Amino acid sequence: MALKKIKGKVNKTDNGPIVSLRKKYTINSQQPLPDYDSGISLAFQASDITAISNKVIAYICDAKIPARINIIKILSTTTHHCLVRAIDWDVVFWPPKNRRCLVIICQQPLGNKLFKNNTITSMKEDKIITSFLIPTMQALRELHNNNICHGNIHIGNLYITDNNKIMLGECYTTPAFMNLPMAYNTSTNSLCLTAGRGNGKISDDMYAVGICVLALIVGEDPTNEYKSDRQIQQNKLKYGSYGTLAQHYRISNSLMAPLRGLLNDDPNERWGIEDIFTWINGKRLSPKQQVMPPKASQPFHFSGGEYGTARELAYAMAEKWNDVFEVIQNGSVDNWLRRSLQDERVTNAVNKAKDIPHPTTLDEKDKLIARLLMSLSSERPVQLRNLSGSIEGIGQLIGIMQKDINIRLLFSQLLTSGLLAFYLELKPNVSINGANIFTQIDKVKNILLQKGYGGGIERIAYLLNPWLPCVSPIFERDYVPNIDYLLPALNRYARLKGKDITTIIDKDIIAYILVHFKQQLKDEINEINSNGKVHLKILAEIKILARLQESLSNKRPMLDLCNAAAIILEPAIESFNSIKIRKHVTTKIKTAVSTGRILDVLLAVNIDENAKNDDYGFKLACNEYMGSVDGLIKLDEDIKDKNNIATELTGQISSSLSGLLAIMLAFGYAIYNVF
Amino acid sequence: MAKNNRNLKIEKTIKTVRPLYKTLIIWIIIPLFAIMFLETIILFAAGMIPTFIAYIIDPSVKKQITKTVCYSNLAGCFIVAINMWTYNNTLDQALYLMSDAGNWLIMFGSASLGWLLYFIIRPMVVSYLAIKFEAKRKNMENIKKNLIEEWGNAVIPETFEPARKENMQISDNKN
Repeated sequence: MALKKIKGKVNKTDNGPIVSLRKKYTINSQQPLPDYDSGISLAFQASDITAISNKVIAYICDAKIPARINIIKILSTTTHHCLVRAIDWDVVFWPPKNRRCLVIICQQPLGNKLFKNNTITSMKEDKIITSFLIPTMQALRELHNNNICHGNIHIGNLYITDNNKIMLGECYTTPAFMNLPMAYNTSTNSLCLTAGRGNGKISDDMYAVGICVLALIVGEDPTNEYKSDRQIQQNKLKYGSYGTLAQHYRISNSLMAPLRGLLNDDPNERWGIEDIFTWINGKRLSPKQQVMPPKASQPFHFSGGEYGTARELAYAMAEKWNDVFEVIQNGSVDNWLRRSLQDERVTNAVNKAKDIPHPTTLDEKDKLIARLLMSLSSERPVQLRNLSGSIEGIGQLIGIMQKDINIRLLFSQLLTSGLLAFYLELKPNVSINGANIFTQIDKVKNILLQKGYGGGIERIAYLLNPWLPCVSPIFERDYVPNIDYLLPALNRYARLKGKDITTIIDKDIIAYILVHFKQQLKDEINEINSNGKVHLKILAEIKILARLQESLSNKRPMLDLCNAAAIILEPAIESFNSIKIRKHVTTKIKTAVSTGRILDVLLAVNIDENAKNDDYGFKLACNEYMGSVDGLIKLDEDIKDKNNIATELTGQISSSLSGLLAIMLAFGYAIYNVF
Repeated sequence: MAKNNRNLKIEKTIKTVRPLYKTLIIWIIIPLFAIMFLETIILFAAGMIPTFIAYIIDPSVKKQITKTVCYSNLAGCFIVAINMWTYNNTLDQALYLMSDAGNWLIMFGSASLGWLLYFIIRPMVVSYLAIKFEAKRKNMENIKKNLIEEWGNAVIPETFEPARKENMQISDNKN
């Protein structure tokens, strides 16, 4: 499959199909390893240049799904041999996709996939314990000690090692539980969108282990019986997980106990690692019988279906959202709860959910429906129309799906409607992680009102998910997993765009920088969001990049970015009235660009001083021009009146001369006559 | 309206009221002088005829041509008057001098010297003005050109009064 996808797309670069990672690993882009593919992440042949004996493979991660690179450092230190260990990661140019991709180098699994064509020879109890349960529990213990959930335990991600041990595959190329088939998810997680399952809990991993144990016992995928995920889900709600998946298999009494323990739908009653070890050590625990929700004496008829329990009804209502308000309005839900179901807890919760002013707008109706669904079943996640996620995963959901307009609108509605607070009100014993997420969301929800740069959903998404890569459309062909990668990626973007570049920063990038950059950027953001001149906004954007570059420990020259800054700053240069200043600044910018330092470009523009001189000089020049125009007008008038002027002037000169001559003559004659 | 009329009447009244010293000059000093220096006044009145003519035909506002002719004419009359003042300062002597054509030649000839002076100087002044105006225009055009070179067309004010704009266009066309 992977090979098919890649065929015909290989775009040979200078290095050919071989890609180097940190000059330590080489990856052959023409040698896919489909046996090790993990969901959307494709495996390729890799080698460790420094230690040939280390067998490694490379996972090429999907650019749209963020990988768990925050756990790779921890995972690289794990020593457990039954866990595919992550070693290193980096972002490299990947020829088959003709773009930069996140590549994770990890230890090559010590054998092939355990399940081929979804079947194996069924295993005996001893083998399951020694080959799977013990190594898996040890590996999970190591992970859980580091507060990490595996989140990708399913039969397609198990490998058989040389010594017949079963090894857990990778868990870092996608967020936890996102790649996990729906049947392997707990009832709450399976009701969430794949992105909204959160980092999960230990009990979620244990549930998946339970299904794997069942698969090893029966030698096939226990979900084969069902045509669709929806059917599995409906059955789980009706009969519980064990009833749905294990009921139609013959299971030995000895294995029934751990299976029932692991597949218990109540996370508080589900077996943990220590329970499994206790059971392995011979103490045969008997798991508590799972308490099924009370069944109504009469089913509830809704949208063509009949539902006996509140959680089944809630599931159906979530699917037929638009039909729910009518049944709330006509009181049929209340009647059914009171007369048929008679579950006081659910009735009270529903009454609480309905305790809001009568809804008139669509948003208010949605809010009422969401509250009703949450109150009908304690297993349900937070849901508002198509948006559904666990309280721990709601932040991750908006992080991953922030570009989905529908999800953005629903998330805004969710934050403003107070549904999360109601969820916590219904479930006071929510996990610490969930409560933290709620507190975080509560703190950041005011940012929603900030419509300009540095606010809105983008900022919230990055605030709630610091591990999220920057998903700006500018990085369409790049991958920015952390702030250190941002400027080099922008530099590449600038190189790609050349002279056609119009912008090097957008709302996403600003939000990302604000979350990850430690310095205050309030002034720059205010300038960008102001209604002032465009060139001042551009200058503020460039200033942010300059500050970012200066703060980096590795101050690599960014020639293309500087060049792009110079191109983008042209309006700022054009804003100077003085052609002399413009030429001077342009010359200085050219020199500054060659240094690769963005700050130098900014200093070359020196907007404050140059603008001040320019304004003052321009005013003087305007006055001078006006003066010369007035002078020319006066001159023209003088030329027109030249005869009169000449007459006047001639008269003045001749009268003076005449007077002088007359005096000389008169005095001369008088003196002559007297003497 | 009525107020304006009233103001005009007041102005007229003010104009018609002559200062006392002028009245004294006109009615006492001038007649006194005329009686005392009658012969000189008659001689000058006759000799200064070219100046009176110049006054009539002089187009200039400040009557500069008249002044030119007057000064030279006065010098001529003065020369003739000296002969009267040093010999016999009487009315007969004045009439005698006036009967001599040579004296008329001196008085009128000196006046023509003034005219001659004016006509010699005028072409020189016209040439000087032409050169001066051209130099001034070039200077101002240079200033404009330099300003546009340094500041671009933005330095040209967009809102000139129509008359000024028209004049500017005229001056640009001339260039």
